[in-house]
Amino acid sequence: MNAVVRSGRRLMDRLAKRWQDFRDAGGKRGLVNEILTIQLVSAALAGSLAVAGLYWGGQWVLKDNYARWALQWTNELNELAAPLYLAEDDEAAIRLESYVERYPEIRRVRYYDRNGEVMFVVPAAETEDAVDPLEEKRVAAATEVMSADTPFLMKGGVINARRFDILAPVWVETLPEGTLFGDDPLQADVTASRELRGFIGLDLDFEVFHDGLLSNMRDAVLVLLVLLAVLGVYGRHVLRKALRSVSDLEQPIRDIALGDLDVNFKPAVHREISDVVEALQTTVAALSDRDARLRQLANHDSLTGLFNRRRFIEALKHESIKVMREGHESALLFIDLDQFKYINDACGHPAGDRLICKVADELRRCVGESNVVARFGGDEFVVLARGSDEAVSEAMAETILNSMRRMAHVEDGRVFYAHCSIGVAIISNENLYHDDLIQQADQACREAKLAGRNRYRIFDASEVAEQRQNADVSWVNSLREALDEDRFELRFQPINRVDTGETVHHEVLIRLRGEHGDAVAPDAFLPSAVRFGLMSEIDFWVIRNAAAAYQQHQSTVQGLRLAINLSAHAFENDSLTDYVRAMFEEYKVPPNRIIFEITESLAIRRPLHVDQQINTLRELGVAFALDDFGTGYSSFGYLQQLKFDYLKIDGTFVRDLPNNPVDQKMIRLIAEVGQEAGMQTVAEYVQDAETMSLLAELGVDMAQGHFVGEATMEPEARATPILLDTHRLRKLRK
Amino acid sequence: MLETINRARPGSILLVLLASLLGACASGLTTSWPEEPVEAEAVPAPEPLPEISIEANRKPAELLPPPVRKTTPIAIVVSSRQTAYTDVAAALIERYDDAHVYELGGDDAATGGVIRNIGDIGNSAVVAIGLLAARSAVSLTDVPVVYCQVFNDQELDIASDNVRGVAAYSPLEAQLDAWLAVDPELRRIGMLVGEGHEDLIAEARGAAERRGVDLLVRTTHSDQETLYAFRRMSRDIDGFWLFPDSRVLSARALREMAQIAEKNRVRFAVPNEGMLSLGAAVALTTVATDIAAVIGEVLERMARGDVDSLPRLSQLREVGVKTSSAMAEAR
Repeated sequence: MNAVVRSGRRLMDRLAKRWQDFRDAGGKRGLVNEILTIQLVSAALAGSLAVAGLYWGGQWVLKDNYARWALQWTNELNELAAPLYLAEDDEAAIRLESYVERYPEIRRVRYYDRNGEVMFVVPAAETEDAVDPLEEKRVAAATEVMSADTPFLMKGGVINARRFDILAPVWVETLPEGTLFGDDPLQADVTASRELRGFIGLDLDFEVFHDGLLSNMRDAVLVLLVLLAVLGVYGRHVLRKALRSVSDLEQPIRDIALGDLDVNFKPAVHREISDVVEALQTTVAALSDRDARLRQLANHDSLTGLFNRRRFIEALKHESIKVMREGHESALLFIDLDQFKYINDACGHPAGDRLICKVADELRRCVGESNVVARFGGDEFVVLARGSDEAVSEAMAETILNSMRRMAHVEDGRVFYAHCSIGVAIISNENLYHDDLIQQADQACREAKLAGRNRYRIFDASEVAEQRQNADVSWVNSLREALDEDRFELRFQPINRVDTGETVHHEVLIRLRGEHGDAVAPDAFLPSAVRFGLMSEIDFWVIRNAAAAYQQHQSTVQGLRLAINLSAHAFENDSLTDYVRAMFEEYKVPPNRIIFEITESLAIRRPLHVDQQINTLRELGVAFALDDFGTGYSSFGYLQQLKFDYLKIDGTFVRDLPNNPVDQKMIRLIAEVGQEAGMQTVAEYVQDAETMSLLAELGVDMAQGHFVGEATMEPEARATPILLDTHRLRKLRK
Repeated sequence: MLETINRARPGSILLVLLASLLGACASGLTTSWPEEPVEAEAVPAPEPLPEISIEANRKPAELLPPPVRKTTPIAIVVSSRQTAYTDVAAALIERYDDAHVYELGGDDAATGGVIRNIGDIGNSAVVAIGLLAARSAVSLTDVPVVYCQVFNDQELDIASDNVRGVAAYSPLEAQLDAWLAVDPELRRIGMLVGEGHEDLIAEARGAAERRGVDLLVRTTHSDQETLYAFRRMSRDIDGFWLFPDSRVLSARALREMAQIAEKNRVRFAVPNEGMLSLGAAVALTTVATDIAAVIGEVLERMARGDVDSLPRLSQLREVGVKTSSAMAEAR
């Protein structure tokens, strides 16, 4: 009893577990069970149909057999009917009884005379009284079938017939007299005379056959059910085995879904699943290729094929960890090309790109395969020199410098030398953080540039350098906050005519209001702004606030005109012209009251989009001034092409003008060329009256500087005192 | 040998019938039967007197028995145009120059008028062939009447001495001899006939006994009973002697008997050649010329007034034997 209970519990537990698995699977059906169910249901249906067909077919076969038996018995009716013509033959009656006993299906034999009256019944246990005489209709019908092909009447159900009533006439025949003397009596066309003797009735009961049939069918159904059960168990086993290949795919596919493409598929036995496995393998191969391509794109610079910044930082982190673990030193080299902008501006970006590729190849060759080269920015490269202490890294830097010095790049028939400056930071146990390392190498590189370019510097962690570095980093946040909190301020420095001393316009200068209210000069923060991509925003801030200042002061300063500095970054913004126009409209600034100053390098490079923006602004009415002329790379030839209204001579030419005849001649030349080109010249950095007087003699039109006027919070029209005995004045008087 | 049988109509319209007759065979034991059916015109009712004229291609005289020549005509009445009847009529014509053949056409109702006309014509004798002709002719009291080919002659109502008959079967001894000659292993023979054939049965028993053959005889009353009895006896016999008693035989009974006989390997002896198709082993038939000869003798004795010594039924003397092809091959 306990065993039964335990079995029942186990069965219930198993069922509960199956149910739980089913629910865990999200209520999804199992493929094996579904196929098996379909098969079993199909088999059950087919079996049911077969059993039904067997039953009905059996019925028909039985009925057909009954009819044939009935015909056979009817054929023997002549003998069975012997009592009708052998009334006194007891033997015939006994033989009849015996015959009937042999066939349990014959329940009763009835004998009628020719009028349908009952003569006797077999078996004898049946009394004649229990049998009704034949109706006249039946007598007539049975008489009609006398000598017919099927000489009997048969009554029975159509379906599920078990009992039949057969009634046959009994007659005698005689041949015509003389028939037997000559011709064949069977062939001769003779009509036999027939005499009806009576009728015989048979009650047939095939109950036993039916019961046997049903019993056999019950057995067949039981066998079918057992076969179905066996097939179910066997089929489940076979299906599970067949679908195991599908199940084997589950883990590799999960791994693929998790990004692991290094999976192995078990070979499948079946063709269909083998095709799926093959397709999955193809998919994995394609995914691997795509992954590799994506990794390549994500980790490498598209132009040079070198590691990009992100990938390099990863390598740097790994190297830092390695250094920390193994205790050796490595080096980070920050390489910046000197004057790369020149070739970029002179020959275009494609030329610059070609030079970059060449430099990348050269660097790759110089550092060897054990070290890592990456492109860090436009013309910036970094090298991770593994296992390199200061001496080794110095040697590597020297090798790079020498290699670059030798490398000549030819574009449009012109030869360019791409010298570079290198900053080196040593990775050691005390210096592992990658951001610091990059900052240090960058700082060292800038120092190399400041030191005259085309050289390397090992990062020196001195206090000054550290402060500078810290300041540089801190500028980023300060500039961001200044833009957000509007903490920039404008100053207005007058530009006066040299000959009359009167103020012609004011240059708008920017200052950053420090934490303590002090004004920070742009030289302190603009490099950081350029480096960290804030220059464009600062330019736009200046435009808006200059326009506002114009609106504010145009009524108090007669003829107010403002000169606004625009960096190259402002032109990178496509909305510059729209913004300027919007600001003019907002603050009601006549465009001809504004002068935009751009640097010589930008003017010379003048990419197409810059040129278009300048033209648009000029059409608007704005004037343009070329700033810091003389310090860049332009020749006087360019002045002919450049459509500027003002030419501002760089202060380096003015600073020591009274004592430097070369500068004097240069300024004279610039003034004459400007005059010829229709531009008015402005000399910057005018510190004293003598310089002012000299500029007048040299033909310069305007001057700017401490002597002319300091930058003030608001624009002021203040005339500059002019020495009356100057040569210039004399010329004017003449 | 072929003979032409012409049927005559009153007013000199004669219908010539062609019949093939096999004359006396060289062996004297076998008889040839007509190979083709009788070619006939449509025949109206026999009023006032149908007459059949039979022209025969006669055989050479030395091969035929010596004919009895009479001056007064003999009327030959055939019940129907069965070969068994016309053969006998043809044989009689061979014997008598002044013989007229009349056919009853199997019509029982017309026989009365036909027979009265025959009586009025003043024939010297009447030969009735078949039961129908015999049943009608026995009513004639003024002329000698001889009937033949009537197996159940006990059914005839013979009222006067002017009527005598000829047996419808060959001599049983001769039949049995002929049968044993072709089937020597015959040991037990069965025989089924209707009632009224006690003489036949006695003769058969005697013949069998003399030849050491067991004979099982049963009298039956219908074809069903014949079949029933045959089924019973078929297991105990190896030969069955079939007599042409149409009262207890039918086509269906014959068919089943043939099947039972085949199943139980019972050899059949049948009374005519046509029944060999039943699967019978041998046909033991009468011989038309033998019948005609016996009729001639009877008529002659009756003409002489020697009626009292004549038996009611005169026996034949010859038997025709025809074996089946299977039996012939077996032999």
